[in-house]
Amino acid sequence: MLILAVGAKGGVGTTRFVEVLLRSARLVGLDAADGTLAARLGWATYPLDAVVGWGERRLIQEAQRLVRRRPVLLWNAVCDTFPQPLRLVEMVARLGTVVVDGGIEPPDALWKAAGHGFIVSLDDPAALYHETYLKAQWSKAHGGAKAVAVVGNVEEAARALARDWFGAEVRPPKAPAFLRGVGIKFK
Amino acid sequence: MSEQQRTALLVGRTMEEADGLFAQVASLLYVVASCGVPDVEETLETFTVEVIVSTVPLDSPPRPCFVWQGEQANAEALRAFLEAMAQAEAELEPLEIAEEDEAQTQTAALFGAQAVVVPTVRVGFYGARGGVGVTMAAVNTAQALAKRGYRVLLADPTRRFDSWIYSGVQPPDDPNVEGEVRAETPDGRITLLAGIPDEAALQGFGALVVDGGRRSDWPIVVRWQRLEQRLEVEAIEEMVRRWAGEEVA
Repeated sequence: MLILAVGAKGGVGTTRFVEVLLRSARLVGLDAADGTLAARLGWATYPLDAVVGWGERRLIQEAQRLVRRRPVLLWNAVCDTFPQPLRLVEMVARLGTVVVDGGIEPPDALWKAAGHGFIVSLDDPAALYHETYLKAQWSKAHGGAKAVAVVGNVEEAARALARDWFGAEVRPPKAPAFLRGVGIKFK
Repeated sequence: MSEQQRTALLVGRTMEEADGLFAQVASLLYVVASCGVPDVEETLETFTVEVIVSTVPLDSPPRPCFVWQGEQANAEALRAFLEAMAQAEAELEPLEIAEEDEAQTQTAALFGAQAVVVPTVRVGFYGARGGVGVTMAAVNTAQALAKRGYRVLLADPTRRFDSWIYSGVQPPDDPNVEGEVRAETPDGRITLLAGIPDEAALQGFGALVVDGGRRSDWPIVVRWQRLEQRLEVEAIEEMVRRWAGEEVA
């Protein structure tokens, strides 16, 4: 499964949505935005342009390895030009679930390849303008399917998605490090 | 492009600034004298030492164009200097003033029909990440400049139309509309342009403000300001007061 999260505008919490989703369920993250997803997660990264020129067999082996290790896949401009990065993402998405942080302008290839679209938005005229347009475009590109708008508490939305779609047992947020072991309960 | 040569007068407060102008001029249709030196003597000294006279190939007849936004006394000194320079030039053809407004009238009064108004304030905003208020900074800056009598072009090279929405202008239904798209704010003081303005499009505007989104590599000659956090309206006001030559408390 390939899930694409798109921001209706900057700063609406798209990366946070994907981050919480990745922390809550065993999914593979793909950063097609500005690279902050991997930094926030603190996980290893995997630049997808490294597979340019690879053959099908090698891509399959790599996809299996990536599903096990779950580094954050990084999409860059080179990936728009060559077929192998998308091919690899599609293979990983068949073996597991890939969640894409698409930023506000996701790559065309990922927009088309994704099976589920989440438009992270907020109550703002500019966000609403882009949300409306993105919904229409999504529907057009995916045979009338609807993209889901996430407005409000993006973290809660991500946890609910992890629970409902992936059966993830969502843990409550961890206490800040300085509160651990000092007898103070964090809710 | 014809072989015809046109003389450009590039005036900077420092040699570095003049060099900067020279670097920009290859793409400029009209050449701007960048002024703002407060003292007459210093002005003349600066200009005699640091004026760069060079030729750029353009297919228009030779005609130096000046924009001046300094004080009257400085302007007179500069004018005398420029007129002496201009005498050595080929016969000048008067330029049409694109549109009347206060700033243009002042400029035209100083330099007669030779003057053409191009932006003297050029600023662009961009942010490394989303949500730092790039569009709001651009819109607030444009409004602050407009309030001071500048004719402002607010450019949106991202073509996302956010600056239109925050300026109270209805964007097109489809943001992917092709070609140059323009509109005016309800008060008519700011022109909004979706796309990349070329230098010819800037004529008649006293200020250019660009909402660069997350990029600063747009082919637009502005001073880029990187935003790490939201820029308060007071900070913008202070910045604009400086540009406008007003005293800042």
